[in-house]
Amino acid sequence: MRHKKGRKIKPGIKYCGGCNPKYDRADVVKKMQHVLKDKVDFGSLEDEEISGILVVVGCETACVDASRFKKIPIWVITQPGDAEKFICDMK
Amino acid sequence: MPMMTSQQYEDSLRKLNLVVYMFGERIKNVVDNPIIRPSMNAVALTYELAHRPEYEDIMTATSHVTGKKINRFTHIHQNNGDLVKKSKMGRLIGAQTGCCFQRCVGMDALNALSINTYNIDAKYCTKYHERFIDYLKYVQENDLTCDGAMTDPKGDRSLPPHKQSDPDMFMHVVEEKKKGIIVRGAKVHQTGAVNSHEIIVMPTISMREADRDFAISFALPSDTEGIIYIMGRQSCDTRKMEGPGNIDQGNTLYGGHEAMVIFDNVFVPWERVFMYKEYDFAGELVEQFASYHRQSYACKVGVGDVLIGATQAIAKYNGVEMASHVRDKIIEMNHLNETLYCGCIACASEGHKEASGTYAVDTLLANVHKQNVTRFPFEIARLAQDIAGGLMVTLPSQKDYDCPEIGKWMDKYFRGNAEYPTEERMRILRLIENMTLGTAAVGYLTESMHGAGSPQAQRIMIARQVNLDEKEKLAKKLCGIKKEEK
Repeated sequence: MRHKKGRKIKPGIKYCGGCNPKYDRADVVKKMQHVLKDKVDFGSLEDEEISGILVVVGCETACVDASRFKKIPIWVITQPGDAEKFICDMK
Repeated sequence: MPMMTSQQYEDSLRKLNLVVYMFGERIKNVVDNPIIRPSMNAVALTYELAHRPEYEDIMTATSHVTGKKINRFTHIHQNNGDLVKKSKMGRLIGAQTGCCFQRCVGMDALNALSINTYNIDAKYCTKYHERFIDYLKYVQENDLTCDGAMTDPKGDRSLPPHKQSDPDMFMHVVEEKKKGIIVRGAKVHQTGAVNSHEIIVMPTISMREADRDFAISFALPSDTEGIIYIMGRQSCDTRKMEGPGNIDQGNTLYGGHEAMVIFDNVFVPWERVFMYKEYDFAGELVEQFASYHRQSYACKVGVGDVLIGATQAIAKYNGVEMASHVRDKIIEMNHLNETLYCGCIACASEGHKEASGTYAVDTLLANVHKQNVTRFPFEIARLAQDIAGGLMVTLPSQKDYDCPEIGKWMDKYFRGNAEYPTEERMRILRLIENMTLGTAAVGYLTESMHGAGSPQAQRIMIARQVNLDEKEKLAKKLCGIKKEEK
């Protein structure tokens, strides 16, 4: 999903519960926010204007139930490599 | 206040007027006592994590009675997914604290009572479930920590409650009044008792008609008049008095505690009574609570994660991390720890719906899980000590390390791999000591042995739950035995 008419994409962040994560999820999100600060406006799920959901999970089980977000794009980050790909896509 | 912050939780404890004794003295300021404080920190983390987005999926739930977002520790399980999240929450907080965080026992008591009160009402047309739901709403709305109090002193174990020479060996009714009952007795080994807002009392064993005065369940504010707490000692407990962040404390942030709780003729209003002489439901409540609480030992997986991490670190500090036998021992520690995890996930995944609507864990698998917990942490701890080396128990104190005359010798001779500072090596050694024979060993080892029932209690349940006849039939069919046993 690309930005339209110069507007920033605004995904809401949804984490898994983090019972036994294989990487530091919050740290990866922090880096994404820093690198993409001019391209992406990360929001919360409560924000009505979000244009997608960034699901950040600690392992491949990806136990987050994202079914209620069917109508908007969902990006799933299961490892730091996924975050790098998201950054490339957004750039 | 649907969910308290950790600061609000701490402030709420300061408002309690608990009668707490330790080392023969009344503790006036419980929250700031250096021996108790780390255990309060551990409970406070259960509040803090619920407010952090990266943990809320596990740490929070939606109340089935109010529809509000609540801390999972006050939730009644509505499906197998809730049960699985409970197991995952145990691992998460065990790993964050490296100790017992105490709040699971109240959650287990609430869930067991949600089933038991419903079943008593179905048989006796009583109103316990309605009372319980009102109480649950109060707990959820105020985000309270509850102590689930089951274990009586029990006196002579060969005798039922009514035959004890001292009837106070089991909690019992001593007087019935218009507005409630007067109870007397004690509950022992009460994890997190002085960090709790409420105490939920349950009977400790199955009972017969002669024991009906002992078949009682109720809940009270923890500072109710007549309730007295006597703190249990833990190995190395006074190291916590040597200053915050002290190396010798091992775990510089968190800890657990147990207390003996005396009920000296305490009044319980009827609206807080959830079982009153229905002796035929005492055993059911014990079994429901025990199954939930045996699942709760998921926390030891998280604590095991910390001990494995500490062992890996000390292997590096000692310069032996590449030795094949060290690597193999750490693999074994992980194998044992993840096997524990399998049990707590399995008993949750195989849960079922009770008549009340509450989901209960698979009893057999919960007991198998807890039976493993009575063994594996001991082997994990043994391997940690094996790799740590004897310095873990011969290391001089931080005061010696800080002493200008001799500290330099410790810094010189206790250095292992030169890449790492001596102090880091000392800190990891003290953490391993803390978890395998210090204050945290109370939770990681002996509590793993006896908490939620001693090993034999699980073996009895395993024997009851397995279907040996069916297994025998399977074997006979395969080897051609056709004759049916009479």
